[in-house]
Amino acid sequence: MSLNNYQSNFDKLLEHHKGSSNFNLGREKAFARFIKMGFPNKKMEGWRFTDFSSLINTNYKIQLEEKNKGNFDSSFLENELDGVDTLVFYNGHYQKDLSSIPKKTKITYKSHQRKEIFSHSKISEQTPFDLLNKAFSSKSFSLEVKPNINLEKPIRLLFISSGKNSTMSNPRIFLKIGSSSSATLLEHHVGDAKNFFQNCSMFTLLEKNAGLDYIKVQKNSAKTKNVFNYNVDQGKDSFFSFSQFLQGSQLTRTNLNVKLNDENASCSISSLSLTDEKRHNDDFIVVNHKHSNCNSSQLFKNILQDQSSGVFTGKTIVSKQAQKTDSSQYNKNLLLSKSSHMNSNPQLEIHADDVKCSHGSTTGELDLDALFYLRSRGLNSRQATSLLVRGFAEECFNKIKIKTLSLHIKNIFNGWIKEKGLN
Amino acid sequence: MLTISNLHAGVEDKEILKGLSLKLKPGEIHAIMGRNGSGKSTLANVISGREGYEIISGDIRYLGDSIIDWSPEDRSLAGIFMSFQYPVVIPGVNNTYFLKAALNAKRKYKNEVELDAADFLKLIKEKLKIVDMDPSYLQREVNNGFSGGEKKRNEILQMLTLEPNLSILDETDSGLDIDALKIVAEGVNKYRDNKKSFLVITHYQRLLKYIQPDFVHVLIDGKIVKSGGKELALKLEERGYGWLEK
Repeated sequence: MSLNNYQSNFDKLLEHHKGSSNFNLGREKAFARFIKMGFPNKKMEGWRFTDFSSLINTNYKIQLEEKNKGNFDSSFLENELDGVDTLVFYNGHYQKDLSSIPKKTKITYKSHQRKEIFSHSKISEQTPFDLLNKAFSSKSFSLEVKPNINLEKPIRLLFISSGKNSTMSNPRIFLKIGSSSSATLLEHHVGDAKNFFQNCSMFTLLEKNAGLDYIKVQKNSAKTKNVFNYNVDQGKDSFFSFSQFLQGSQLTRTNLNVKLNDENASCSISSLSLTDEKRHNDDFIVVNHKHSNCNSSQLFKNILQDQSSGVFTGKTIVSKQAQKTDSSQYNKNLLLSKSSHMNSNPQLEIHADDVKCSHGSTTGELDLDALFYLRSRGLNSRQATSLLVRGFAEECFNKIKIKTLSLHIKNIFNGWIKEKGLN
Repeated sequence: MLTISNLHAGVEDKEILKGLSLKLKPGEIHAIMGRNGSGKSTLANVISGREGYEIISGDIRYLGDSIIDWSPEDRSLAGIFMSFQYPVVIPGVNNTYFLKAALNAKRKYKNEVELDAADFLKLIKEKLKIVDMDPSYLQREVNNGFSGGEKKRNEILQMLTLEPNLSILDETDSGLDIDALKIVAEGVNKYRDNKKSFLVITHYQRLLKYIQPDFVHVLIDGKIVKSGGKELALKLEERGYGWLEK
């Protein structure tokens, strides 16, 4: 095992940015720590069920040039969704000229400052992927909604990955929703990259009474490896909803870390993943109740075909002072083939005594009685299966409040199941 | 309509039906009565093609064709319907979507144009009235959170929508209060005509007060031991099954 490739990429990056002041700040340190740690292996707690060796064995190159060369399929830019502002990222780099800038927001895109962009969000790099992102992201993107603004138009962050070479990208994104403001964000991944490794870090700060509906749709190329590192800090009375819909890509690991830092904050997290062939999806969720009267819910659903596999680790931590916590955590998995595989680890760590916490996990095949019931009404076994799979997924679409968006995503999902021969 | 001849069938090597023969003509209502474990539900499941039930010997012919190798959906499309004793909950699927998919599968099979949402709604609203169901049922998930009576009415609604030639009502009266029972029976009576046949499977005579059968058969240990007119049901109500056993 050797990380030489990452070393030479890093040297190239430093060379490229030589002369720009402060660029180096913190990067070399982060990279040195990354080299020392290496990629996670199966002996490490929290990483046991996912194999990252392909990240070591592939000769990924970073893309220094941030302008797109206009060589990606422009249909990725076509927006079948009305009434959203789209911000475009090409192989991890923000493309201002392709974007429609949402009103009432402040957007910046620049090299790290001495302080991270939103200083109240304390960032600690813990995993090798955090460190890798810090070392390699040449610029950080930030989006800020000032206080007391209700953004009605959803903002879409469109990530396009494309190219014939093995490419690595490390987008680093900061979001801040000011106090008493609200917004809807859609993170949308598309692409046809031959071989892509995306390691995205996102830091979200919700101030007092802020609300954010965050929706993620991931369908990038079959050869893509995705690692997402989400860190969310919530203030008093804030609301955060996270709904993700995943399909495609070889490997996805999602680290979602939500901190309910002040009273009466709440979060609702849900996920629907569809995997086939030998694809692998790993969700690692930590919700930290740090104050009293906070609510959280987790609902993770996986639909697995062929030899695909999945991992769910959900950890709800209730600290000593977090009395009156109300939390739930559910993982439900549907195995559509005998050779698919799921590991489910719902966990509760409770240090307070006056709390309401529930959790559960179910993994099973299609209900044979339900299949027969539908077939006895004239639906063939494919139609019946498709209906049951859609029914299984339905709960996740209901989490999206904006009706048009929910319908749009449902259509995307129906397209996926059609593609997978389930219709 | 339906001819069952010397049928031996069972589950996992256990023979449950032991030489059952039955003939239903168009327009006839036949009732099958018997104690628990006599093979009543096995008969319903075998006719509708449920997996796990094996036919050892004998034949089931529907409109002249042997159907024992047909899939459940082919039997349904050809016009056989079973009202389930325990209707299955289908989470996440709303009733409209399910009913429309089922009806359009059938229309496609008959080379008829599939109905769009508006036409379907018009049709289904008429049917809903017959079983006294509120249109809000359509938006609910199939059988999810339905009471026993609602589930059975939903079964009859499906029957009225799919318009089968042969309807098997498996213990449709179980779990029904008297009002629901009347509604269900009325649905069947409105649907009944001289071309359609029914096989009504029941424990009690109660349902047969409202759905009057032409023939009553008593099933004991996988065989029909006695057949008669509707007066046989009354006799069973009075005397039980003991006098028919050896």
